[in-house]
Amino acid sequence: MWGNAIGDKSAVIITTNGRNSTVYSPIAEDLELIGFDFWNTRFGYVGAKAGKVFRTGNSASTWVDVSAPTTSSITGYYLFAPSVLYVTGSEGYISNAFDSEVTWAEKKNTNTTEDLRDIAFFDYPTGFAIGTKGEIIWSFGGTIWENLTSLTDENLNGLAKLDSPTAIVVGDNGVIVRGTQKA
Amino acid sequence: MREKIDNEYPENLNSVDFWDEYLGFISGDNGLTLQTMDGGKA
Repeated sequence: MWGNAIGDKSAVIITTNGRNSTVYSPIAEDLELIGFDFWNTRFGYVGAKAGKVFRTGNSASTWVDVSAPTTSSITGYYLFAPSVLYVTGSEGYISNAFDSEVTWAEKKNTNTTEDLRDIAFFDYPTGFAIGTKGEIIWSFGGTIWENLTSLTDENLNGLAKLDSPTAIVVGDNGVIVRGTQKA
Repeated sequence: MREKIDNEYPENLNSVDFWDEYLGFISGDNGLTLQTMDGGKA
């Protein structure tokens, strides 16, 4: 089974056999890697502070700098395809890229300055993102994002989409929120 | 509709992942791992 992990000092660790053994495959720059996502066993992204984003197409053997034009830390990813992705970041940052050169769009109008931690789409136009202080924002189309009424003031750290309308969000102090209508 | 799910463990929860619409895992501080087999309803 294939898996990976990231950490300080640009560490990227890959396993191809269910963690019986691992390969240390760091990025050239000395960075604290914050978030990552892989499309498949070969193609993926990692992010760090100051808009740093690196892409691999060969299972982390090499990395290409495709950083975004922002000072925000890049935290979360949603990949529609290997080169069609949205990212979240600190200070309310969301951007996207739709081409293999990873040309980043202007920062989206997210209507928040909270640090966003992760993002997901239920289908092409409908997505949501989570962040600090219970922030949940929603968009139809990905350009303009609206705040949703939060059920908590705790920082929200992770999300997972179960099926087309259902998602689970987790956060500090044991918070678990279940949404059943695309957010 | 969104609802908070009862959770007796106060640790910070950091990530969540699902194998399908039923089976999922949540990881948190202090090595906490939670499992659901009904899509997070319990």
